[in-house]
Amino acid sequence: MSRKRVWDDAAKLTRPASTVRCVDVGETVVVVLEPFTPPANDAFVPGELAALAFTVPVAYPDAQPDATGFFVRPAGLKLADGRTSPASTSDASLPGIGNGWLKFSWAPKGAQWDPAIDTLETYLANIEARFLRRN
Amino acid sequence: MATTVKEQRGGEHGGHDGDAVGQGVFHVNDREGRVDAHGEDLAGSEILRRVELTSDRYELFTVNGGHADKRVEPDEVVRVKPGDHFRATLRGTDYSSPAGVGRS
Repeated sequence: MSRKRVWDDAAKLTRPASTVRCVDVGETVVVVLEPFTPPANDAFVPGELAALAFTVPVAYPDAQPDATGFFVRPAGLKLADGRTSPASTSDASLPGIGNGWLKFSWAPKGAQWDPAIDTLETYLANIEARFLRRN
Repeated sequence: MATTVKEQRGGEHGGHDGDAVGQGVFHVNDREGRVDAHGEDLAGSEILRRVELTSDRYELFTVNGGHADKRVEPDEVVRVKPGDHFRATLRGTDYSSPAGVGRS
């Protein structure tokens, strides 16, 4: 239940070609993976994201990572047709990090975050599952 | 990869001489489960159970090239070998929700 726990767990996130960095922003830590190749990346243009980011409260793991969604760059990410923005997204700024992000919004329903079990790996897996929807 | 495999040599089926003999490790997220060194055919629910997760709370995905790939249904049987990785997501996330849409 500390900033260090966020940093430690973030360091364990391994995805091909991605490096992970953490930025302390107030009572949160922003975890950034750069670059990030999403699953089903043929459904998106570009197929490789410059960055993927999400916010984690310092009360993690008792408190879950941002339950409203996550952020990607470039903000101009499109579906494979090159014109349509992905569903449930909007231009956004990421406090403490800057402008020029696209936010994917979601809402957790059903199974609730369990601090005894769930980790940043669980959260990142949910992000990957979002991209598998290809929309 | 924290894969450990202790092959039992000379036995036709193995796995009777010790707790870890003939077994290896697979992962679901950052959780470790054990499986026969030669691989086992397991239902999705059993894969989750071996890492102390349940299919009523989690959805299971195969991993291909380091990324989540295909969903494994609870009753769907797949071959699991030591070194394999899977992802488990919290069941019930509404990815189409407009909640939170807007500037942060």
